[in-house]
Amino acid sequence: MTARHRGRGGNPITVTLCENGPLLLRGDFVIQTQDGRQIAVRRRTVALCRCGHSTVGPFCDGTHKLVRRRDRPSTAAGSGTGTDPAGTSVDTEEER
Amino acid sequence: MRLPEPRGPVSEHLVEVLRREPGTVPIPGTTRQPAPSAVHDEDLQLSLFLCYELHYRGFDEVDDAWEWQPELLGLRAGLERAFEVDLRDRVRVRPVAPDDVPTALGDLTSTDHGPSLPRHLQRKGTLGQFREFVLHRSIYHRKEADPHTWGIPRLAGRPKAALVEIQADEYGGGQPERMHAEIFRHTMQALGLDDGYGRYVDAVPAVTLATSNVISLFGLRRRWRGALAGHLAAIEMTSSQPNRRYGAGLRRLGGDELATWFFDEHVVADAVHEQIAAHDLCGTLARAEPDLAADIVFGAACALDLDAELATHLLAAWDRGESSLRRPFGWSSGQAS
Repeated sequence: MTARHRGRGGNPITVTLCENGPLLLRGDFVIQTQDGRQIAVRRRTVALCRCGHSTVGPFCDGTHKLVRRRDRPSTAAGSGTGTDPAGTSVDTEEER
Repeated sequence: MRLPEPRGPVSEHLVEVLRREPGTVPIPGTTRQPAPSAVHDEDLQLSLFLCYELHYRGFDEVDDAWEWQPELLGLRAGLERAFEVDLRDRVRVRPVAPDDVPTALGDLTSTDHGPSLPRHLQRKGTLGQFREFVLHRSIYHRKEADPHTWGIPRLAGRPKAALVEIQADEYGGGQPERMHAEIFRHTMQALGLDDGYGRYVDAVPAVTLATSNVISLFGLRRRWRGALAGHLAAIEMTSSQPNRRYGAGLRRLGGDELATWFFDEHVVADAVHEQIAAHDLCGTLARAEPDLAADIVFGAACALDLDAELATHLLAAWDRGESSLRRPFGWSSGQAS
């Protein structure tokens, strides 16, 4: 699924929602904090984290794949093992 | 770069004739007995590397006209057949429907294919081991992206645009100092290694050359364009997290920001590239050319298999308390090991 918006320079901003993955941003976008401080972007296409577990936020670092893996229901151990109340978990010691 | 030292009859013959005028010396076909495993055949992998390098930067002592010399291409084809037979034997992939290619790539790359080299280097690896790891990787990383670029003129439409989008970023988006192959030099320098192109070919074993040769094999032959795309996708899809670990490992060993830049850069860059490679490149290529679906997955599986084989080699050597290189290596003075 993709949303488009005309950027300032006439280059349409495209936001691509990657399935079980980040948001891909292309076009004349600016990323800034809530107080308006611009975050340096060093490439034309960026991936924004949407699992909340990235170590290099706001950008994606692929950690969502570990989250997903650990979130799969366990068949051997009891249900819910290794997941937090939100249903996702990354073992910061073992996995990271 | 200079011609490497031969490792057997074929590479010995090649190193000898390539010094002469092109075309004046007939090159016999390969009549040698194939070694049990082409991936670990030192003579075969070095000979292939020699043939392929003529298409990249060439050798100081070799006339550029050798690149398209028919007898040499014939010899190369024989070596490639042996390599391909071994790859087919090592890597079995199930048939896949074109629409399922991105999912198949996701499943393949989320399965463990070997021991975890990233975990070892993150937590326990010594500076000497990290240096060896970087030395092995320099065979490919000093020409990073180049073999996959061969795919661009062989694709059209969306898969082509996807490959260009990835490669443009690999090449620094127009800034030479940001090209990945250039950034890698900082890591090499920080570890006391010579960052010259092809400097360490003589030091690495066949399996390391195979990890680079396989991309040249896929890249230089149009019929392998699907495998080339799949190979790139597999690399991108197994990059962010391992590189995060490599960066953390090098920081643990005292590496500064410049030394770890290469790894830190790949964490962020490849989180982007993997999405583009799996879906926009491989997914749309499989739909446009359904016959390539199996090749795409095969290429990805080859990348993972050879990467795991190299990791196995490194960890096994270190486990025995030995070097993973072909010969003891003289580090520059003042470097810890």
